[in-house]
Amino acid sequence: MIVDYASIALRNLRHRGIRSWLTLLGIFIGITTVVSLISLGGGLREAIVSQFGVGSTEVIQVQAGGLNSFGPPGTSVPNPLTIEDAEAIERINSVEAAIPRQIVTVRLEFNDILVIGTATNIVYGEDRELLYEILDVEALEGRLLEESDNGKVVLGNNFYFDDKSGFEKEIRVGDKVTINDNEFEVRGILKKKGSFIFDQIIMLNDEDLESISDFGDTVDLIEVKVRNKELIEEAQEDIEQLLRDRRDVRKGEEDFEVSTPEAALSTVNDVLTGVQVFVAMIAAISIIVGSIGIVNTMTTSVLERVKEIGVMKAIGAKNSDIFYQFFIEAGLLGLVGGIVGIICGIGIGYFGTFAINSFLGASTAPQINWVLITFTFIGSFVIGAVSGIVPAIRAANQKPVEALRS
Amino acid sequence: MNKELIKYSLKHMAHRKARSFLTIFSIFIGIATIFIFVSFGQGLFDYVNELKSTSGADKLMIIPKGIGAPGLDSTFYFTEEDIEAIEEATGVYEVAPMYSKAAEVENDRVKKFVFLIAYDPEDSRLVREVFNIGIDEGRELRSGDDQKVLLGYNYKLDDKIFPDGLTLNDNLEVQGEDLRIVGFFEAVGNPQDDSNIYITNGFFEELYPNSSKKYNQIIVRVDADNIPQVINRVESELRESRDIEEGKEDFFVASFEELLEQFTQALDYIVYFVIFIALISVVVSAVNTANTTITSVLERVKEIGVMKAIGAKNADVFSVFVFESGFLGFVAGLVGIFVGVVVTGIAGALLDSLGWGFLSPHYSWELFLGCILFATLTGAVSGIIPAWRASKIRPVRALRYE
Repeated sequence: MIVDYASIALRNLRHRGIRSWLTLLGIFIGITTVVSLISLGGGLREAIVSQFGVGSTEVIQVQAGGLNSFGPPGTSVPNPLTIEDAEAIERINSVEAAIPRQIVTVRLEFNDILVIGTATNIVYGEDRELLYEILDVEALEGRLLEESDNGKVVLGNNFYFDDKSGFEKEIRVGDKVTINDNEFEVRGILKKKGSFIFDQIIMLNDEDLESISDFGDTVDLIEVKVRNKELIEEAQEDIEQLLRDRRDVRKGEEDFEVSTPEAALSTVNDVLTGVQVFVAMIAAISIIVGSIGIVNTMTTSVLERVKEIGVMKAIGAKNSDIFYQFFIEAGLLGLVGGIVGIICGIGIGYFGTFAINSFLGASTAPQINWVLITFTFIGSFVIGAVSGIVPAIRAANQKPVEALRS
Repeated sequence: MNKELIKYSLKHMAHRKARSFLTIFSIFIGIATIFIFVSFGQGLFDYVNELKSTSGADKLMIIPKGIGAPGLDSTFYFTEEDIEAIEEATGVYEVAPMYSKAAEVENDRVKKFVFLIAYDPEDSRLVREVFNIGIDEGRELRSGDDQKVLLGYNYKLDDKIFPDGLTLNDNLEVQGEDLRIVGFFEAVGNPQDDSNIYITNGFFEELYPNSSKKYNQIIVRVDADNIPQVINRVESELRESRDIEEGKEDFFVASFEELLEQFTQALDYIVYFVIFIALISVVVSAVNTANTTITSVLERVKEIGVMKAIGAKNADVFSVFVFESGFLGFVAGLVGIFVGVVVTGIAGALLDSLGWGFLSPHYSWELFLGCILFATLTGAVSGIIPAWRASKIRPVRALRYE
């Protein structure tokens, strides 16, 4: 039965040639826009989130409260954490290690050019390996800093290229750079991480960083490694309790943040999702306009075929038969527009993500969201069919005698 | 095109109510969307332009380089010596060194982190010109105002920063010290700036002895006619006092105008992008209009034949159909503007109540005219091909057409 309706519908659509094409074009443009924007937005979001370079999942980050969304950890904090806080956290049972990190703005000079950069400390002892693991860094050339490497520096991947570092010249292992007026020898260059923070990082041994900038015993960020994954929540609560005591604040009035990297990203994620929804909504307007096109085409089509409807009814077609006929025809218009739209949308998504990647230096794949695609696929048929409802009802209610006389 | 033909077209459109209505509907949605975003974009543009002309023309901002939001990274700062060096540059009239820091404020056991800005009350006028706001209630900071604080507008409101709004002469705990509120600034119109708190430089140095004389930004009033030269001079004075070679500066000197332009540029891109997306719906509606016109031509093939048989020229037939689609566009433009004005009015009021008062729509006659013209043009252009086909119909064939 459905097949019959569909084949009659297809014949009718073909018969009306250019008008069917135009209607399809209308719905197709809207769907292409929405699909491409959503997959692009997904890719963009992944690219942005990857900038934060979150490696391990068994890590909790602790930072003092402040205007933390305005800069790197520790820059806008009224009451910073201290080394003693980190030591106290390390004594908690569920915690394997608590690594204090400094994030310091420094002047980096090379090739007689000055660049303002971000330096971070590499701690001594067993925690060194762990810190490398948490930061998820490897050397591309040379090697990572070892304890004996005082006076040496490891640089992010961007410094390997003359056009990305701002120095107009590639930096290689063994080169000398000046950091805050002290000379350092480059010991290694990191592999690309696809994150603008880590690809521009300057890594120095703890003592070296302390000697060129004075942060005393304040700490910008404490990376906490938990004994095992199941203990994350417990550890988080323990740390919060400990810091409440140490900083003398009541529950609910914490002036510090204890969060898993995923949780820290949730704000960024929320904002990006909001933007994506907004843009998709604006784009969805064109789908609405496209569906109005279907209503229009179907209305015309009913008017044109009044006589035909009369004949069909005269030879025994029921009201419901006529209704389904037009309903399915409209649905098909939507569906075909939708399929073409999805294909083009995904194509644009791929192309756009490629552009984002080369722009941000990230390496993300476009997000092909199959749920979304299935939804669009069904949705386009539904949009078409719904647009066809009113014209189809009109068609179904034609009186055969009048229809034949018109 | 004569009166007869216009009357003929209008009658035809009135006859095909449903179809005309749907065509108008599809065009006006896109037009209304564009109207909404352009009017907000223009409002924003006006706001920035006003800032530029009232407060920007004769001012420079000097900011240390750093990572993150300006003023928060205190790695690099300016010393008293730097201030004196700037004062010496020719073309510099007034120099206002300022501090900025993230601070913890507390009221009724609710803690918040906000921007704290400190300036010298003697520079009040210069500073206020840059902020472009006056005092809403209470008074300005005065020299020797220890333990006193001037607040941004949002502190007056309930449920904005604290559950209960603050009033004049209340105390606010800043970094553990009780400060008395001497005044409130007027609303800037964005939640960020309206949450700032202000104290005097003197009191700041007491509150943060470690940051004393390490200024985070400097506002300078200069000779408005020679801004580029003054910037050069200030830069070279600063290089000398900080003992830095050219090209290795750890600070920026920029005119206020330049800074504002960077800010608007980013916003412009966003507005353009949204308008571009909205334009797509107009393209779709143009396709719909073309479709309507094609149908309308097909229906009237016989009529066209008759018209031609009694002497209508190709141009007459062409203009009938272009007029029809253009007219539909014109009506859609009117409806679109109407809907746009209603929506922007409501949205503007809503944004204002949320503390985003600087985002308000601006209506200009260019915008109204532009929207109507654009809608009419969209209609007319999408009618061209069908109309051209109609005009080429051969009368004999048309009369025979079934």
